[in-house]
Amino acid sequence: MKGKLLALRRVAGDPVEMSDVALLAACAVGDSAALGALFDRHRTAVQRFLARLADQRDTDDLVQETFLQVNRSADRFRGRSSVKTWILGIAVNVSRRHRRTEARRHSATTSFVGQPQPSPMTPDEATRKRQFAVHLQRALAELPCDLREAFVMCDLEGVPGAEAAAVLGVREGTLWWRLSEARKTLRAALEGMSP
Amino acid sequence: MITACPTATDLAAAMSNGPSDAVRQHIAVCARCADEWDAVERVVASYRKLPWQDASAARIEEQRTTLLASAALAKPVSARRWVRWAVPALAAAAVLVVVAAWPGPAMSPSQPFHATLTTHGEAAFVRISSRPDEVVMLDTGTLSVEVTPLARGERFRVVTTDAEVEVRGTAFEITADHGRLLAVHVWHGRVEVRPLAGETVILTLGDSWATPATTAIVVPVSPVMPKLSSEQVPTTSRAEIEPRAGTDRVRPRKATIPIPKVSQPSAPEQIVDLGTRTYQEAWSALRAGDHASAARGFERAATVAPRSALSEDAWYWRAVSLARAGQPAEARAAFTEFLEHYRNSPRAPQASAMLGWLLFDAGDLAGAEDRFRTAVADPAPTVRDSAAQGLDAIRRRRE
Repeated sequence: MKGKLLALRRVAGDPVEMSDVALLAACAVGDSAALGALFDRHRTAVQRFLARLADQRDTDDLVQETFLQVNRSADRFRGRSSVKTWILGIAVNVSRRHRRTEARRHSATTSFVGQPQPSPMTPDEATRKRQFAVHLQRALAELPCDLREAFVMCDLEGVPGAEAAAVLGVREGTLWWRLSEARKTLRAALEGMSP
Repeated sequence: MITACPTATDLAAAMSNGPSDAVRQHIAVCARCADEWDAVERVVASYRKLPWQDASAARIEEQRTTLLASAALAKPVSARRWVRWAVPALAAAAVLVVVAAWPGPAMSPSQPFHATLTTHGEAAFVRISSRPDEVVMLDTGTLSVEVTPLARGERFRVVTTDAEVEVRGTAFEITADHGRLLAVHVWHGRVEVRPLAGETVILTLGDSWATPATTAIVVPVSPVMPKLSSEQVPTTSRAEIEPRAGTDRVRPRKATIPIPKVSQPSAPEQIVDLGTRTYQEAWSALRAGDHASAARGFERAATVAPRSALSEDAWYWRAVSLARAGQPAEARAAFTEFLEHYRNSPRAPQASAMLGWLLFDAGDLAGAEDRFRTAVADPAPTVRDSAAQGLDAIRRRRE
């Protein structure tokens, strides 16, 4: 059939009715409602993941691109990880592509323009907490990408190491090394600071 | 006795996977590794507590709609994918035959489809949606359809551009040509045939239906809003739910939607593509704040592809656009009409809440109260809260 029809409504009923794998299988044959259900189920995790991984200004677009890619690649899911981890893996690739595009657009010196800068310390509690949060964000943003991906995926999103290694396309040992380096770097960056 | 310290990677793995007994015992006696462990746990805990910026409810809805529209445009279902799907689908059907013979649920909740489809010769069809509102669009050819018994609230339909065939647990054969329904034959069960230009016909065991020879090919001249049964509710912020306040006190009236008459039919794919394009343009207008153009665009989109799943959304967003355009009387009429035609739509509670506010603004407190009451028990908190606020506002106004 040549025609294209849009099934824009949500899958009705409780979303737990269909497993992620079943929804993905339905996506693979063009079921838009299944794509919508996957979006409803995993959007928050993907948004949070990308917000921590990439520049927050672009997160919304990256989320959308991630789910478009999920739809395009649905028939390539092989079950080596959970569907959520697989989607996060796609989000990593989308984020990498975005970074490369952005890198071409901006010189390295302007890459931190617009990001919050630490302000001078004040005794005020709220200010101190804000400053600590800014420092955390900055330390994470300054991590090399491969370390940041490993840290956000495993430590913040709780993805098991073996699954994370599979979707990141590295050996498990490499993933543990990256995780170890990321933790060490962040620990050093936050030395002496407290919330 | 202190064993050798684990390597950095071993320690990293232990922190993620949980420590082995050996690592646990080592940490218990090695101050350096214990410090390392605690420090890393503190760092991770700090990051987990770090707030992150989520998108607004309106932005999420927009993301979702754009995503699905783009997905449908970007990815027509290829024949190869149907072939890939056919094997597991047939296997699933075989399993269902066995399961159906057993007491208990006839279908696993994870099975996306009730129907087993078999083509006779070449047939062009596509599954539009899965359970619980399963729809197959048949363009050309003959399909044999075996539908396992549906659970309460579930539907199965085969649609063409000029008719809809709905069943409940049956087997039948259906033939179409370029989107036009030609014939239906029922092997067992009960089938409802609903041509756009004609009366609904009920067929039972052994019955057949064929397009009358005199039936002209027509594109429907009035908008058709198929009843749908989806239940889930979108999330929307109160700000989005509440349309602009208006001063017009005209009570809701039946909308009259001018539909262009078309003497020659368009191919189904042309109709749908045109509808999709128009819908996208309307969305662009809505995003750009040109609400009046958006309302006209959504109306056109729903009209040119009245049988597509797109039309329900188009009618809904038309009503929203009218409300945002500061046309409360038209918006009330549009929401009223939407709710009449799509009372089971996932957008119905949201539309009820919006209509409630429009009626409230127009001074129709009784009408507003009815609408808020239908939305106040909704599972979506934004819809529920909006309706509850509406009922509060009515109470205060009456006091």
